[in-house]
Amino acid sequence: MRVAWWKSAGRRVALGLMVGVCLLPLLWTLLAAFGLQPEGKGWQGEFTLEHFGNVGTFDPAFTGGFSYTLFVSLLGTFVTLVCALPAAYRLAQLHRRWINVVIMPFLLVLAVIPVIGYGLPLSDLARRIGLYGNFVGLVLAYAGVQLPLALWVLRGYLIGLPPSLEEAARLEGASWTTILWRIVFPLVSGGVVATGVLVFVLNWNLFLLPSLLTERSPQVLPMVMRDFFAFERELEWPTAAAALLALLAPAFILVLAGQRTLDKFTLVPLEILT
Amino acid sequence: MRKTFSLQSPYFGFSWLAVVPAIGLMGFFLVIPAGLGLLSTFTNYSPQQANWKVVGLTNYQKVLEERTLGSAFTNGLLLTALTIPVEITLAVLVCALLRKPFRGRSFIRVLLLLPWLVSPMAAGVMWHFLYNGQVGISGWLVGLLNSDYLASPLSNLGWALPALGLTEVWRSAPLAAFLLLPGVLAVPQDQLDYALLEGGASWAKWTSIILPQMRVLILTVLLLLVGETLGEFDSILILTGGGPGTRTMTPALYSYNLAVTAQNWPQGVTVAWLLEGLVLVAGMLYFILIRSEVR
Repeated sequence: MRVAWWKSAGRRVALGLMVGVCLLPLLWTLLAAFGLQPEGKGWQGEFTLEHFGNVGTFDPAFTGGFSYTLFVSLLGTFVTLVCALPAAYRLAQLHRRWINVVIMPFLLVLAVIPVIGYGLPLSDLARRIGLYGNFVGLVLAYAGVQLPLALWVLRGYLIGLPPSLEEAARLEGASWTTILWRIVFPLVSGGVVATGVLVFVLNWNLFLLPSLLTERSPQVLPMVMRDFFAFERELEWPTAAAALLALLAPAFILVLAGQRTLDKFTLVPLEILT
Repeated sequence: MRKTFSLQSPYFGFSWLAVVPAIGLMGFFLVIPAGLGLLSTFTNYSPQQANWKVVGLTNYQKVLEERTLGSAFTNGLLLTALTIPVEITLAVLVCALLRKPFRGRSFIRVLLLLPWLVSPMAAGVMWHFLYNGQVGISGWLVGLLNSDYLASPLSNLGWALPALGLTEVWRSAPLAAFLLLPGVLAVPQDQLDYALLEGGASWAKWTSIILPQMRVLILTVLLLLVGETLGEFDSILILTGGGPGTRTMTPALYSYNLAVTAQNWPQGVTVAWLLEGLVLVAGMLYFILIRSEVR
């Protein structure tokens, strides 16, 4: 079946337009960070890298916060995945209707309930048991909060695996850790990576939860960014733009690295549907 | 025969060890705090004071008397009702454009994630400047048309909420497209060819074949978007702080202001739970709607 050329060209133009509009704000930020600003039909300013240096001098917490946030987010993601994979596997093995109809919607609701609803009591609870304002508390909170989504997504990947795999391995005398690590994990590693990337991005971007769970210092980057914005009244757009790019960079690099697995990402697998 | 979740099963040990860490973490950091929050809305409990007692529905009564509560929930619902249909429509449109395979499609799909990678906090800072008349995009467009300086819509009584909606659409619509695309691609081509042979408008294949098959996926994405929009906090804190007046006050922001800024813990938690109740209602709807679809 031949598609008329204007149809395919029209599709390309429409797609280009939409992607362009969606990327324009980011392009604007990118240009500003390098000192360039469109004005009228021309340009204002010239190419410079000084704004990136300004971010650090403007707010020394930014450089410290960067590695701290990276560490908390990565560790939180790791804990989430380690806890989610066996549980998701268990959920996927139990072919029961109530899991699809009750447990999964419940997990989804847990994944979307606004942070403020559990964040306020959690900050109080954390204070009482010594998890407030420390690294361990923050990592565990990040891990716990992202678990429902991770469980939901990973189960989708695991549900496609045939039960005969595990049966065969078990006849050979494999323990469940061996089964999980040697058989299940390699088969869904793409899904685990994609889930990990998305959970990392969510962790990296958390603001309300860490601000309810930590003191002034050390702060995670979104908190630093907020102070940066709120207290530096004379904050210039190019400096802010440079900070924004620095904030975006780790998430962007990770997503590019995981592009192949993210391309196959599905929220709801076909197996769940009738 | 399938293995069952029973005491006799040789898998019993595994089944519990496998789910305990996940349940423990979720329980401790999500379910228990949320439950404690709900319980404390019926008391005058506050972390600052030593004693507390049960006060029944007094907190709810006090909160409902406040006019700000009405505007917060109106704004939250309005924002949800305005942005989500736009986001889903745009997402389906993008999916339609990406349905036929071409070189670079997978790259474009991942590119769709970009606006979502910008955290709500960072998106707030970014759009604050983009709406600015001097350095922003709107100012540049106005300059091209040789018009006057344009004030930021964020300080405008009528335009502040739509401006927030636009930043929300910018961040979420591409994400929705990213999430919906697999559902569109999963529809077998022969079903579509068959529909074409039957003769029908090309949009009819969407309303009669593709979208109905994606029902569960669409509902799931809808619930994600509804939860995120109703609970919106970070970007609004930066962009307007709830102003001008209470024109962009949202439930999450109001709850935070009450509990943390005004140190009125019981009422702050009560507002948070009213918001949570709204999300739970959305969750119930989801539960009812997918029940017939899922095996």
